[in-house]
Amino acid sequence: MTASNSPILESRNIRKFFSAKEGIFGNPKTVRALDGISLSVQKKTTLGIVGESGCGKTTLGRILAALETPTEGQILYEGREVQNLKGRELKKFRKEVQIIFQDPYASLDPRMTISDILSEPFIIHGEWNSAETPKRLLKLASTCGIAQSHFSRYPHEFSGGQRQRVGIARALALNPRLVICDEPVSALDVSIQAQILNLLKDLQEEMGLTYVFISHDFSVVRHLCDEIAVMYLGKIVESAKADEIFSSPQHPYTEALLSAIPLTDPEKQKLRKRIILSGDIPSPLNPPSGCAFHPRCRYAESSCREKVPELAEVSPSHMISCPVRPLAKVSS
Amino acid sequence: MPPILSISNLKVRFSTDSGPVWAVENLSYSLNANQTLAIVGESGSGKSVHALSILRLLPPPPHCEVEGEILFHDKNLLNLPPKEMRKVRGNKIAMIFQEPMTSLNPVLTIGEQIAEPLMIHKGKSRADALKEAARLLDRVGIPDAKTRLNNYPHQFSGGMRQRAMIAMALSCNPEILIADEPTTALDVTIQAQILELIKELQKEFHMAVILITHNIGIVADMADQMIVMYAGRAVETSPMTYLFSHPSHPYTRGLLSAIPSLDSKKDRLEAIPGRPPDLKNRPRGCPFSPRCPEVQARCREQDPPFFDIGEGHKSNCWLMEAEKVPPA
Repeated sequence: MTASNSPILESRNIRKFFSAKEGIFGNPKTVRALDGISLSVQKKTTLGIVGESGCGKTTLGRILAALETPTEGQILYEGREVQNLKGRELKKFRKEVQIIFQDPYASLDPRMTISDILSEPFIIHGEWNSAETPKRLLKLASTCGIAQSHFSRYPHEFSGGQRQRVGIARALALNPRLVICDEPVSALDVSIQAQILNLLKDLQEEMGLTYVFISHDFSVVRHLCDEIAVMYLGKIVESAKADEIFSSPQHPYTEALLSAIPLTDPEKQKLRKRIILSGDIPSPLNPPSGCAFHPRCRYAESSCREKVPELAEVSPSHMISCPVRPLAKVSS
Repeated sequence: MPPILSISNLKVRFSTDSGPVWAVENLSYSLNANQTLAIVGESGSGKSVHALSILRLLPPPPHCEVEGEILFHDKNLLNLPPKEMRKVRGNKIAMIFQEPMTSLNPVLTIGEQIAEPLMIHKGKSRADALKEAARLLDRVGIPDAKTRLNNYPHQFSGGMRQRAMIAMALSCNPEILIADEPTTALDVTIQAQILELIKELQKEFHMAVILITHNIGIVADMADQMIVMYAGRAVETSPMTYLFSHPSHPYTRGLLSAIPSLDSKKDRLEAIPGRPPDLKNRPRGCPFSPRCPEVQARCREQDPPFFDIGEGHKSNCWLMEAEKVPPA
């Protein structure tokens, strides 16, 4: 890795609770969407956050971009606490930290032309310069693969891939430093998905960007990320360097998740043993006691039902939250 | 053994305000009993429309016209009177849809929905049908099936709904199961469960399965035969193993290398430039020619025929003309 050692963004023990009511007269219940997330993102690298639906990855992305405030915990951007930023400083943060949304159909205003959409960030941040900005916009658009003839059109005239390019161009308009990509390719076809992933990679090299890449798709994450954190039900269960997670997944959930992804080579796939997890992802309204994964875990012991496991290091910069598994490895 | 389903020159045309759109063009294939056929393609390739045309679920003319022949055993489904067709649909040929939420009726219990085809097609009494529904629900892996029969779809999770859909499709012991993107709306761990279930049930019920998907990865270890579709037509037909080791069509090759893979890390994905053609105004010649890295002058002028390149492998590409085997 080429990263320097100062993290650009850090989260410390973030918790986010939502309250939900069952029925009109039901008692309000708390949903622990995020339960003690600590992570740090190094400059010019990509951190991948992987998990299934309902694990809290999107909420985490929104909190990191300060679109939502955590119930507890701190977010530090370049060492400064984001919740305390105000006025000019907050505006600077908003400019430097951008987000690309999952659904390119919902994230563009249908009543604005492409040129309006791309100009808006400049206007909001008071950086519009009628001599320079149009030129810059053209350059930006061509980097992202949008033709000039498209500027006067509206989002509905474009395909999903084209819209996602507009979403990317908008996020990059003000030369951000950190971009949070929330499932940017999950709504796209494979051939288009590959184009967008390549574009993100090129832009990172060109502009020295840092990414937080949120996805449910392990193979996409592998392609892009330097470090990966795996989430399950509001908690990080494993985090390590990307290559290490793929070569030696330690947490039983990561292991199962990886083996559930079919390989594209039928010969290799036949040789591989699939671990099929039983049961569904539990509801965050009513999480299991102890380790949230224990009802689906094939290594579960009686202690897993009682004690909530902590993240612990199993090898340098490889953390897992499972006390059973590493011991099993040593003894076997 | 004669194939149980054989489709020849299937064409589907939709009338739109801006002229006709050919959603499926000249699709031909045959399916044997107990076989799994995978149909792979991106959105708009015509894969789902073709499935709906088998079950005659498309809107009636003049909105939509279907030509060609769909032979199920020796009956042409396209000429069947509606009453006869209803005896096939959901009975001999069943379908699982992509969206388990929108394809279940929200105001009927799961039990009623699974029992319904049994009462209609098999003439069972309500009590018997519900008993059978409980057995099926248990077979597809829903715990506590008897009480779950009284649940409504919103009380089920996505994976459980898809299991209920499968139970419904299997209720009349169909000869063909069409699964249209059965796992697209589901998480990976749940996807693995559902695929495994379909595999098991296929053996148990001796069905032929048509698995429609955009994800070439999930069919790698499930299908015997595969058809790749692009812009409404089949571009390549092949036994599974050949397709991965010797993809013949540039689109198939592009599709395979565009997938980020778990087993090897590539620095750059090889993306296919451009995007699928607008079906209202398709390019001349081969529809893939504007995106094809190996395009030749002829491709832009003449539509390639299907070349048989041996071992059941057929390709719709001029490059394969040299490799074709002469008809025996």
